Amino acid sequence: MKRNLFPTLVIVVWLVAMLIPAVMDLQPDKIDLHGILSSPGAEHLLGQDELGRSVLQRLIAGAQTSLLVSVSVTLIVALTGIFIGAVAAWSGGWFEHLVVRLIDLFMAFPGILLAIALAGILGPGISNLVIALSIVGWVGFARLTRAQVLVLKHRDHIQAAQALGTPVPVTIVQHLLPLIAAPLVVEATFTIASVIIAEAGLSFLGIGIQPPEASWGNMIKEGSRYLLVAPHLVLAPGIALALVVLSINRLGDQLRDHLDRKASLNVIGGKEHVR
Amino acid sequence: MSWLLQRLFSAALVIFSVTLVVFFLIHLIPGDPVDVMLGETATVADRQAMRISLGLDQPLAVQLLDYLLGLSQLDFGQSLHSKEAISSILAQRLPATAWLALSAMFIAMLLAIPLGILSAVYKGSWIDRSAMLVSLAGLSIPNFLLGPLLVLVFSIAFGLLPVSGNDGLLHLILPSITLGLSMAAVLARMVRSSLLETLGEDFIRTAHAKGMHPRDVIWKHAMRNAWLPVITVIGAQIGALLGGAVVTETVFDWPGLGSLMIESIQKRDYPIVQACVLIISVIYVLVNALTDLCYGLLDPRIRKA
Repeated sequence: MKRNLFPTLVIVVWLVAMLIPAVMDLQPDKIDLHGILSSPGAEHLLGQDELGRSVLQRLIAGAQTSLLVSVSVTLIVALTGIFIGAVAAWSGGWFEHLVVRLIDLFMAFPGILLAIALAGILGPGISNLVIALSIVGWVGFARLTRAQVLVLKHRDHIQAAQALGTPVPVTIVQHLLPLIAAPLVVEATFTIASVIIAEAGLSFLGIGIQPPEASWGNMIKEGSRYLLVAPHLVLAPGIALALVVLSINRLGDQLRDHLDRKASLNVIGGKEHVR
Repeated sequence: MSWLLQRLFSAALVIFSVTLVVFFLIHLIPGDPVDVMLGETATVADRQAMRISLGLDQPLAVQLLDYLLGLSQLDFGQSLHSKEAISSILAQRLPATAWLALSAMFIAMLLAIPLGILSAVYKGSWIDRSAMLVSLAGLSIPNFLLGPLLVLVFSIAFGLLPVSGNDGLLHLILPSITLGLSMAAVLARMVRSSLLETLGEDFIRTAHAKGMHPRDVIWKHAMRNAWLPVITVIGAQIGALLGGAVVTETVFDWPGLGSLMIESIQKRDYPIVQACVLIISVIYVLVNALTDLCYGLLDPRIRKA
């Protein structure tokens, strides 16, 4: 447990960033032309950026953005993916065939490429970003759920529930999904991490969150122009991003190992990391 | 033989569906695509001209047929901005991406294979623990952060390497390290776990028992079997590599397909965006098919399955 202390701490800090505006008046967009590119100091703990905005306040605003995007995308893709995967495996026939083909099709696009194209075509902004990442992201959950349901649907207790006349949706939700909750939770953990990277990546490319709205990705992008004179503009959001993703991946790894040991029945491990 | 044909046929099918998706991408533009591409100031005549030049006045089925016919002759249409043929723009940009991806892959394998083997052989030692920690860090640091960090260290602090651009081998080093390190992280973990699994098998114990040199046990017995999953991962990682190339090229101003795609998104030159997505995806599908074929050649069990 002790070795998880640091990652857990990082996640807690990341989550707490959501609450800061409730207790403190944040002004991440406030321009101060006297303090342009100033180094970290007593007044501004992490210094100021090229418009004199407080890096710390923008970092907190960026944390909110990454949390909002990653949690909403993960919820959307998990619910759709699990639904599609479970229905496909349960019903079989043409629908399953169609879903398998669709999964193959989505897997044929390399990494983040399709998300970049979709976000680029839909236009910038947080909701289009969520849409683009969701369209690309459901596949992992659908594939995992389908594989697991296929293995489990012939179990005795499922057959018994069916024989007793339990409606199919109830059978799936109450008797089947709890059995595969563990791998799905692991998948969700890694999905959150990869969505954080994807959000920052798209914002870095200029097709995600647009300035003046703060995202760790667009902070790194704008900061990298001043790398020579003010490296803290890149280092602050960069270290925050890396720490949060590293911590989530680390906890995900541990969770997977733990569940693998506990449930040697039919757990399929995490997934390929999207980047 | 039929296994080979089957694999090629399914690759062709996937390429066809990818083409369909790419064709429909342009119809996802919210509102009227012509308005989006031309902006607010365009006249009615301009709009009409563009609608006709893109074929958007035709029924969807005709548009699709035209698109497919064009592609069959490697005609991707023309750029909305420069009016240049997209195929010739792609031909200029493709080599840069190919160089970047190949050298990144080379760096990844150079780092990951020895590191993975050492980690597996000395499992639990400090080598293993530090290698796996470094690899977890590699997984968690995205290209667009690693790139500027490497520039900060190697170009700005030590002045060893150029910051960006594309003249000669020196300019290739930082981008390919940036792109290669994340692949190395995944690969090293795969080599380690695959080799660990093989090392636990009976024939390895037999080899040790008959007094074989440990180095020969690793190379002649264990690695031969451990290669197979590693090759699959290399194939799958090429997808991440090509996706990552888009970001890396933008970071280093590397004139490949990825930076072309981002420039075109910014200029709303959507036919070029379509062509980039199509080309990169088709390369990926072909590489994956090739990986499967290698896999089949290395392991006869796959062909029979």
